[in-house]
Amino acid sequence: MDSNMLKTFIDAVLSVLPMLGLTDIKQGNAIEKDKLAAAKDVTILIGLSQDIRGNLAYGLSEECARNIASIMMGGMPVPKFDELAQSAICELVNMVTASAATNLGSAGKVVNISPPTLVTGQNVKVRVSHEQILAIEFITSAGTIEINVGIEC
Amino acid sequence: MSKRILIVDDTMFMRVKIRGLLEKWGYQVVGEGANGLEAVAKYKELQPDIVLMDITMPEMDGIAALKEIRAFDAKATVVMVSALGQESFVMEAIRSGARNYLVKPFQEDKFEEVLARL
Repeated sequence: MDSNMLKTFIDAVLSVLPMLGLTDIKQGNAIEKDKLAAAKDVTILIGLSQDIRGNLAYGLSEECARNIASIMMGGMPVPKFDELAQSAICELVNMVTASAATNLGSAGKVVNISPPTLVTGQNVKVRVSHEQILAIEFITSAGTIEINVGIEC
Repeated sequence: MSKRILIVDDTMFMRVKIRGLLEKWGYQVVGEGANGLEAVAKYKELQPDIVLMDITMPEMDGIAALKEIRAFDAKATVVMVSALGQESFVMEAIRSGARNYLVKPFQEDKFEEVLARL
């Protein structure tokens, strides 16, 4: 993956998460992985299409997901990862990925995104790409989010 | 009388958030939809003053729903509320008859200002 594209995804995370109320966001490790990403408690899949094709898998613990949902709901307690909390996390993924797509679009490419799909449970592996993927960690006040990026063109 | 608004977004979180803001600002939320098909059906049933429409949704996307609603009612007031901010999407929405386009995450005061101008 070229470094400009990688920077686009990192910039999207660092610009959107503070707008949703998350603080102390730091980029952690970025490592190349096999095409399969091991699922965390909560995995959200979202696809890119048109001029750039690929998939992203966002992984986080359930505690982190509940913390983020609570922040996005103005501090409302989120003791269970229920439908409303799940939809908050899907919306976060939608906003971050769309922001990256917008930035790629300003470079002359048209990039569409799919509606996010949320999977819970650790006993699954997700095939993000036919090729190698890049996993980037972001450490936030709510916990750690891992983003697996697989771009195929 | 307060304006009657239909909210269309595939995520429950956004529907709840937008409903809360609209009710705080004195608007009447007459219905909600989770995809473009529901948007078209509820527009025909409820005849709202304003539709707030997401773009990326299952079944039928927001641009297709906008076109169907405008074909049914050429005076329909539809505002797109989408995380997609690419110029190509904004221009297609405006060409298809959208009155405005808000990019998520939005600033609440900007959102209120857009609605007040309709």
